[in-house]
Amino acid sequence: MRAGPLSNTRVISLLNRFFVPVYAANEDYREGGAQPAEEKAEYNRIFKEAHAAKLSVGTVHVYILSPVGHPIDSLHVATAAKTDRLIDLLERTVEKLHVGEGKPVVSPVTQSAPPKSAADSLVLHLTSRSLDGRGAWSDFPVEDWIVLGRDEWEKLLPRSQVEEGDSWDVDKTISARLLTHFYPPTENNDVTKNRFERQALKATIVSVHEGVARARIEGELKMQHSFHHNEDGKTVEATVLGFMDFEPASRNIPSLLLVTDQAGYGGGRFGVAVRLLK
Amino acid sequence: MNRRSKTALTLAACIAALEAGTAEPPGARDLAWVENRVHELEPAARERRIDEIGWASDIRQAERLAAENKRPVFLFTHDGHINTGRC
Repeated sequence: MRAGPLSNTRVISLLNRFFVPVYAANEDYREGGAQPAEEKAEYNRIFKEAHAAKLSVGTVHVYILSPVGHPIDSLHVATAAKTDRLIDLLERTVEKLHVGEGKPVVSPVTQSAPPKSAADSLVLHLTSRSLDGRGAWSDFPVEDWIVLGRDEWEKLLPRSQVEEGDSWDVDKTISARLLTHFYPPTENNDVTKNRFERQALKATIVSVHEGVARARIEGELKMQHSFHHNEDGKTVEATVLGFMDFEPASRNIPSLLLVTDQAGYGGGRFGVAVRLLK
Repeated sequence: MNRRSKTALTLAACIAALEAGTAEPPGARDLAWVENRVHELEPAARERRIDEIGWASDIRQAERLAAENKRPVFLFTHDGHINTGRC
């Protein structure tokens, strides 16, 4: 959907001019999910009403609700993902309900935003994309947000004062926290299922200037990561390179970049980039 | 040297340069190379067109705005996280 109709100029225009668009991640609406009870109740009501109205229903689905909140049409994702079929649904709805044209009722904003975090945490943005269209989904890059608490990110740093040429192995728990996200776009995104066969990051001071030390980071990983949710024995193998600036006196980290140099999965190549946001 | 020979030589030089780049030892990668690679890998605007849509924050907000503006709701239910693409 995202790479197809939701990237189509006409679909975007129809949604913004005539509809109130919203998406709902099923995991958030299940028992134990992040959404509040009232929101879950509304999600369940729509599903039940659509079923009672003999509309097609499913968990990965498009529903059209009337302005008073009742389901009036629906499409399975396999059909909705065909841009012309989704445009037909949207235009049919506008015509049937005589919807007046207007500006978006919600201003468009970046959807992948940093999560809320403590003031002294480190927020890292990770991008992963297939480089050759093999072994992984390649429609568009995917993102992760990694938040490290102070007790975690301090383990990236050496314990003592540093000078050029000093080196240290990054704490394994922290390198694992970062490297477990180093996999290409796949259906399975449950990182608790990932299994490292090996992983390491090593930092070496390449310069110290005006109270700021720059460390070159090199590393590697081999990690089992299944493409689908069932175990398939596929592994990620990658070498990693990056640079971290830090202030040894204050133990502040103003900059951190990591990228894969060579990375393979399922017979294809992919790339990962990590940037420190704050 | 005729034009065809010059083209062949230029092409050979380009391929040699690419192969040299591939064979470059990891130790030769510097900060500028890493910055450039981060930039190349991060999402381009054309890959984030979902951001051009004015999404409501949840179903209840969408229903409230729909009633206020006499508009239908477009609800997409999905597994995973469509905002980050991990879905």
